[in-house]
Amino acid sequence: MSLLHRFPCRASWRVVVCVVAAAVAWSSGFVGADEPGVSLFNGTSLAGWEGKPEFWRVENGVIVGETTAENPTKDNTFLIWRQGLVDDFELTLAYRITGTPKANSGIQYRSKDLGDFVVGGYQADFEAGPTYSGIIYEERGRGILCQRGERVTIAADGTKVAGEPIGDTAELQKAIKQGDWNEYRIVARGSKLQHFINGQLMSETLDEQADKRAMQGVLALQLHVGPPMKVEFKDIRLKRLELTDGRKKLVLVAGRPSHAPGEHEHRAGTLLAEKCLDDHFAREPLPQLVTETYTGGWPADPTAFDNADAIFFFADGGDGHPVLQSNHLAQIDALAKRGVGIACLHYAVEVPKEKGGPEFLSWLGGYFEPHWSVNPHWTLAKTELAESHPIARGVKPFETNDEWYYHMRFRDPPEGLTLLLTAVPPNDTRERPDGAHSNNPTVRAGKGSREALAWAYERPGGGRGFGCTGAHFHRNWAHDDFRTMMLNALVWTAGLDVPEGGVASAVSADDLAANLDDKPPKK
Amino acid sequence: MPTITVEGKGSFQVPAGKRLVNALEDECGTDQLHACGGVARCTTCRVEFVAGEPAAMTQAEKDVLAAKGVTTPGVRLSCQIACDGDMTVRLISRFEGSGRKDSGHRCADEIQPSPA
Repeated sequence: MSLLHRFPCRASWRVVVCVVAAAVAWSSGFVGADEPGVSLFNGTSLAGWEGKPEFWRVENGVIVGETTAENPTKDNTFLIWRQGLVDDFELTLAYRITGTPKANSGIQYRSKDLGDFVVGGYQADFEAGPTYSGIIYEERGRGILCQRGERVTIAADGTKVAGEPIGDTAELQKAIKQGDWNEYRIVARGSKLQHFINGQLMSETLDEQADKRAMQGVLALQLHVGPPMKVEFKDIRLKRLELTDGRKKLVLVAGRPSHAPGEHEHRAGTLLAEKCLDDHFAREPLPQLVTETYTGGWPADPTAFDNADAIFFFADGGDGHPVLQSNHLAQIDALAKRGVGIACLHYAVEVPKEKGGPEFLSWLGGYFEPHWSVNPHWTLAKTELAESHPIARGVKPFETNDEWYYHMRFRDPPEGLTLLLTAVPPNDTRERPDGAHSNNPTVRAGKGSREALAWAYERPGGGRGFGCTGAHFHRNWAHDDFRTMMLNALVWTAGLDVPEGGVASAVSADDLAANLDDKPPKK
Repeated sequence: MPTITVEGKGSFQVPAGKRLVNALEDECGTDQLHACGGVARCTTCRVEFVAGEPAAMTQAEKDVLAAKGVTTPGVRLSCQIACDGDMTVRLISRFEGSGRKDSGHRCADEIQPSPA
């Protein structure tokens, strides 16, 4: 889908939108259909990549993988791209493979990291010999899925059905320059996988075997076991593609460690939410929601948001909010303007009024404004839910203790805004001394008032926003109603329908204890 | 690099010269038995060739097939065969359903006993 399809633009100003959209695309890193993608290799180091150092190096601006008689590999070994996962994409790179005709390599995608630099999954194969370049091979899986020159559909039961052939494999081999540089291009869009070498389609696979195929996974480069060989890569460029078949992509950003153990557990909370969503959608024949979590703050992956339908931030906010650093505010603003949903949790709903405030009002419809909003700890009372909103499906009014910020700054007028979760804070929360986060005359005057703690926003130009002020305490993810509300909100923000009864999930004690940040105990 | 096709499972690329028994386990992901650990004693590593059967046979394979009365054409010991060309095999001796506690301990990289 082209960039413009995201805009519900009217014909009279379509040209203007085209120009703006092009500028937005450039500034955000998003790339259009004819652009070559984003470089994943800086030409000087293996930054962002990881493999066994005895086999991989950078030399003369190219990545080199090499085995020798003195330094063989016992098993296939891989250089793994560590900055992100790939789902739907176009990848182009240049490769050169030398050694005996048995020298073999390949590009793994949507693969599983099996540890010790071994991966399994789809491989765009190539070799020094004349047989395998261009085929699709499933490493540590189903083996050869589609030979060169073939179009194959793999049915749900694994049966292969041949389609119209691309051409004779020996003829296709002639498009490949043996011992020299070649361009490999992989196009993976949903279940359709295409491999091109030097512009020539070599194989095309439609993988409908739902229990075996992969829709997301790691990207890696292979060094094959066998006689001494050398493989070189350069000009590695990734262009993420908008998901098809009604699927949506949620990118989750977990902030750095903060606060005491059990508080602001950004990584653990985000990965828990992701696991619940993945478990839910794994029950679908074609999972509607693809998730990808980046931990440790702003993603190092330069393509992280390029095909996102929604972004979730669970991180410390204020001046240190990830979206306020570098040029991130403009980047996220551009994404929001093309309809990408934005959801923020707890401290991530706070930005300074002067920097980020206007953007948060346009993205989320509301935010924590210092000197206006407050951050007391209290237990919800007289809780009410906006029951007609999809996010409230399967959620009962609940009463958790949390650092429930309230008195948010909301859009005025509030068109498009739904106050999802409201409660009445105890009056003593309005009696604290004045301060940027603690109290102010307006809050003090509001004793007995109902306050909003979670809200949903539908932007007039398209796109959705969500904010929730709780989740200071990690333990609250174990609360079914809070968790269901959050999961529903993430699904809704991504533009999907929330199931009747809400997103069902279960959390064990082990789930809750997983991925906690290593923090010094509270003094 | 040879392609080993396992009937009903798929086709797999295997490093040239690799022992077939190990390739069946590593690259092809099968549960091929090899109870004696690949030393040509037990014949549980036997497979049935559909295509690509090597003409050569180690003395140890000849001896044990004869001793155990295995005379079916195309049935060979995967522990005595190196992957030097494309082959298609049928699995006839798998861990599943064998009642054994495991497939047998890992076979060495080189053919044992050393071919005469």
